[in-house]
Amino acid sequence: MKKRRIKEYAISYSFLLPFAVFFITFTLIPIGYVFYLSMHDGNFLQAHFDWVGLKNFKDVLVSPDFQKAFKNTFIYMLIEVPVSQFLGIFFALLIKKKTKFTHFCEIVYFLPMLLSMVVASVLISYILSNNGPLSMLFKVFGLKPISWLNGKFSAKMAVMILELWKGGTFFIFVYMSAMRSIPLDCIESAKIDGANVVQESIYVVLPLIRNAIILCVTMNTIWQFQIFESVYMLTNGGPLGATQTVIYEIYQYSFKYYRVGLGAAASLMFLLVILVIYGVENLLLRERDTGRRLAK
Amino acid sequence: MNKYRIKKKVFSALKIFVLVLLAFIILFPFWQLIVSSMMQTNQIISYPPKFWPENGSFANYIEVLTMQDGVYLRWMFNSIFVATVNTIMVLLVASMAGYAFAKRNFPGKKILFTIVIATQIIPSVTTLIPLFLIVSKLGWVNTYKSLIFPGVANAFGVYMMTQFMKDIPDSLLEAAIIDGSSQYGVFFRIVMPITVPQLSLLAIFNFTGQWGSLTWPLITVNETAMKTIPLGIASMKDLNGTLTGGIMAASLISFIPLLIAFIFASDKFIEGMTLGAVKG
Repeated sequence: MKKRRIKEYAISYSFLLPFAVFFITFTLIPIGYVFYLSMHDGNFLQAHFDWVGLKNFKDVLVSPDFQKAFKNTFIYMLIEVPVSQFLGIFFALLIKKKTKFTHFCEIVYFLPMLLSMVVASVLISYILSNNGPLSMLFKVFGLKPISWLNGKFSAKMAVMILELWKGGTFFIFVYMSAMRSIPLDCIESAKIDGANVVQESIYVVLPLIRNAIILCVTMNTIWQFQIFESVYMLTNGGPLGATQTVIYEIYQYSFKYYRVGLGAAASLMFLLVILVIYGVENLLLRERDTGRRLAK
Repeated sequence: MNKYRIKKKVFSALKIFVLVLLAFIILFPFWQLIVSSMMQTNQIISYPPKFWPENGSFANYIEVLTMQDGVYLRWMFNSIFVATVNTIMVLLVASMAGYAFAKRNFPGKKILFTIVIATQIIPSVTTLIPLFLIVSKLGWVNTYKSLIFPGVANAFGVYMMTQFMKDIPDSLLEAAIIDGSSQYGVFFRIVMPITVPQLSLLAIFNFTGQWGSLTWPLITVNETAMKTIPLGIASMKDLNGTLTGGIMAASLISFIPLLIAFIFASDKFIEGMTLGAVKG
């Protein structure tokens, strides 16, 4: 009997084994390793790293580059997240009813998600280019065209436009599926009570998709906190570091200046911020524990 | 009543207008990509922008496909190979682990599952530097191994497969055992085939992510022949400092495989990509 049980367990572990090999090598060891690196100084070329304690963390905190990068990242977050969430909810409300036309919209709205950030950045940088279509539109309306990538704030705007165009429609889909799973009688009874479309949306639909909203805001915040590829492709951090983000700096310090320890310390501080964001999400979700993570 | 009807009509016209406007904002850059991929570089960067490929040609496409002895086709092959092999491995490894977590008993199950789920919170950038050090110590820089293997440790995939596998009725598995099937036989002949719909969702999610990934290849690959498509296009852009007709054509070609797949299975794509919503 006991032997049989041991055999059963062995079979169970054998199912886990392939994943465990990859998971330990490429997830668990790197997590431990990053703590080690953050307290050491050295570069990829050296054989060993010197112990420096918490100096790297201090260096990150006082480094103007990282301060600027954190500031920029917060600016992206504070502007992009509300805009894309508002648009996501707004458009989900408009296409939640299934018709042939909204199905067509769904297909079109999905297209940017198929693109890689690299290709999306090629598209958007053409649209925003000095002699591009958007400049023409500005001129047609008698406005002065913006040289998007040369201004400090306009370059940030350009990154946000790219992020919004490429990733913003994702939230339409999440909100749409949440809205479609609302029981019909909730909407019906609101209609019988004489609610118009706006009232119905604000007082009936929004509270019922509360968890989806918390989820999307968290997800979007974390994504915006991690933006790198769009910055790398569109502006390369410029002009004068105006669009640098935290990940962009981590990349620069680790793989361009080879200051691995500093990069590791910065990525741990970055992790701390992410954990705080998750903590807030959990508090909000638990507050009125409806138990539904995301109505599917 | 009449007034109400007019109001309703105005409202629905407004709604259609807004939806079409967004569709236009999304489609217009795609159209411009098609147009400019057929133009010469100096036409692309000159004013006014062109909205129709007058005097257009496929010269850019020929240029891209033949540049540096067909390196673009090599990038294409690299991307297809890396994304395909990685996806197959993720599906196999994640569904095996998911099966163990959902349907089998063993000591430490709860704690192991918790560890796997908890690591999902950690953003990939946190482990980027140590991961590179490990990969370079293994001597994998500029190889397919470094592009394929680290991504197989996909905790999200395990989480998804565990959830999916919980829905398989136990009686089905017990019946197969009674019929004389081995434990592995149950998994490969029963569990895998009936989870094909879920596996295809995970496959779409994973493949699209791999196809477009830039950050990891950027760090681990610097040999021209080992680049993936996104990295290749990025380096074309770095090299030229401006948008060329070649970059436009290269971008468009790279989009076609996924577009074709999307046309055939748009509903699956929409379902598969929004899987990420659960990921949080």
